[in-house]
Amino acid sequence: MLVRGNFDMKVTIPTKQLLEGVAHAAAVAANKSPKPILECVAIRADATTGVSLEATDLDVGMRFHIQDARVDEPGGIVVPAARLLSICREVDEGDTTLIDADGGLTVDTGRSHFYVRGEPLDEFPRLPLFSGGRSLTVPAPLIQNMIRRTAFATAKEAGRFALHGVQLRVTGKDVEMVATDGRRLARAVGSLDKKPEMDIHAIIGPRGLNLLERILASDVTEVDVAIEDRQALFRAGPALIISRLIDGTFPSLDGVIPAKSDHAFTSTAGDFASGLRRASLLTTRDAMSVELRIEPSSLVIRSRAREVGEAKVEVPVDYDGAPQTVGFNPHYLQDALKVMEPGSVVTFEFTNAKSPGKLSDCDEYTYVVMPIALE
Amino acid sequence: MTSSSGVSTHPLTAFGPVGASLVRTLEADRLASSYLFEGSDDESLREAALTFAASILAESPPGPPAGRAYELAMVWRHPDLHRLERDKATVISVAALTGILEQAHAKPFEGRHQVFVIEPAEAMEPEGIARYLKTLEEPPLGTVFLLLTTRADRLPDTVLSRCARLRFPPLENDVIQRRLVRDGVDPQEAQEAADCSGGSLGRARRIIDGGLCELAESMGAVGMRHTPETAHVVESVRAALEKRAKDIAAQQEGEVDRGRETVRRLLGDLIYVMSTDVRRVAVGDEARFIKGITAAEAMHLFSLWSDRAAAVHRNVTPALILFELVRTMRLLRG
Repeated sequence: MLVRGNFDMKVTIPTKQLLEGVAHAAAVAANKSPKPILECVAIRADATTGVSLEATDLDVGMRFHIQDARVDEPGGIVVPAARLLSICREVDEGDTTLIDADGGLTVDTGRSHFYVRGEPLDEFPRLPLFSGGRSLTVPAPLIQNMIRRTAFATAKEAGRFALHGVQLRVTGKDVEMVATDGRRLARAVGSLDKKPEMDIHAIIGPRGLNLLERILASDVTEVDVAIEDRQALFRAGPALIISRLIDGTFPSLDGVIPAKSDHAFTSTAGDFASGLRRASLLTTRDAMSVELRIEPSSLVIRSRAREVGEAKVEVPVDYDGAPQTVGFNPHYLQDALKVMEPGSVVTFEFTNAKSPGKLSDCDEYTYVVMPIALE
Repeated sequence: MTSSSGVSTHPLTAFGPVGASLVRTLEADRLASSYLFEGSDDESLREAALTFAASILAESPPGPPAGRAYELAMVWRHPDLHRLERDKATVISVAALTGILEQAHAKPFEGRHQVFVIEPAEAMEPEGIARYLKTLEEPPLGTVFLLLTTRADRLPDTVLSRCARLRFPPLENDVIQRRLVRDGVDPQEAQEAADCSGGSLGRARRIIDGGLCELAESMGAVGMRHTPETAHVVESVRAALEKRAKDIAAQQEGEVDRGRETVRRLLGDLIYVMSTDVRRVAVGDEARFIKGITAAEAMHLFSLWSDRAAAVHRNVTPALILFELVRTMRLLRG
């Protein structure tokens, strides 16, 4: 053992669980930050609550509870996440003992012993606790699906910062997530089994939501969601994910989603996406549009870029109206089709070449995309 | 911080009436969303901004701030304290500023406020300034921007008019001495550097870091004694200053201008330190660096130093100024 002098923390953890926790934490910790402590993972050991690992890059945070840890001495320390992850990947199976001693962490596992220099726990940003104040419980598949169907549509460019997040609104039993970048809008709705104590309205950064969607394991059936003053908290099994709230006003949806369109065709998500993908092979950054020519029983997708060439792809659709021609950004349409089941039947509604199009595969999902004027 | 009467005082009061006004702002909980800290010394401004930021983030009851948040902020480690400096050779890029603005639109991580220190504010690119102004039109709740500048004349009126402008006078020597001691400098050395700093924390730090006192001493000795080694020593000093520019330039491609600026600043400091001591000779104080001259000679020399100091600030080649200084000193001694 490399322990020198007195120690403040001593815990023993199954190596496999430690590796899982550190891997989750390392994925959240900053890769490179002007604040080096953000590149670290904080280990907290408490006689009552057990051992947890924490990491944050200030935008997203995670607290991961290690279930089968034995706490001999409570305490805590902060060590570089990437370094600890490297060690955990290499150590022997079985149990690993972590000891905070002399300003560093001793990692002791069977025949391998490491001593990593650390930082005081008090300097680590304080992650909020799940108080359960303004909270609700959402079925895991529902929130996972809603995130997957909306978070991709958040704005990426600087400017209207409220659009950088997903609006979460819970009214009674109804839950709604909306994201938009001003050129397209994704809206997913669902229904809760039980009405929460109060309504909720918040704008949440997409990184925390995407992290939640990724880590939701198959055995997690419910996610507890709490909206605090500054953060949104998601408790899913052993993980608590913290996402900072975005300050700002989300645009009203009134009038954005067309209530009624003059024309509509149906296709499978897979066929429509495939056609768009093929046609978009001959688009360029400056000519990022495709023409959709809708005729009875067929959709012809054309792209044309002067310096590259042109493409024409035919997709079978169900349509019995007069021929219509509209233009859209193919990538915006593909983004929505990617989150739908390939075999599902999608409906695309539109009125004319100057009106937005509406794509949907069920009553719970609406995707609106602005048209592009064709040359 | 404790006053002579033993009563704790707010650390911002060390920055004179301007600091005291900031204390009143904090106590009234009436923070502006954007402040412009102006002054002649960038490090003194940074010290004032850091103290103000830490006081905001401490969220202490009226009185001197304390606690974990204050202590973390005073070493730039508070999660809600962010600092933006030049990320390219001479500018704060639009991308860097955009990242900060995006952060400003998220809620604070730990407390009620988050503070963004941008220095030097005049280094923001025009497009970046436009984005910053857009944020100021609807400032996010709890966000405070502190813009630091020694060249407010280089900032557009649109920025100046949207900030609470605060002009910081030179720091008191004891404030500088305390700060240096807090950085681990020996108290006696800190006192000497503070005495020669002219109220500039930056100059005091450069005196400590760069051995400016020793350099000034060498120059003074060479110039006044008119030894045969004069040319050699002057050449060495010139080479040292030139090397400094090249070293800095070598650290990062495209930083030649900053290297030259550093040399100019060092030379300006050298002139200041030496003129301070000449002035002391003139008024009969003990001369530390330059010995064996009359009061009249010292006064004449002092006026020469002043002219050269002004020339340095007019962007004249540092090496030429250095040569000219030494040549004048030699003439003075006949």
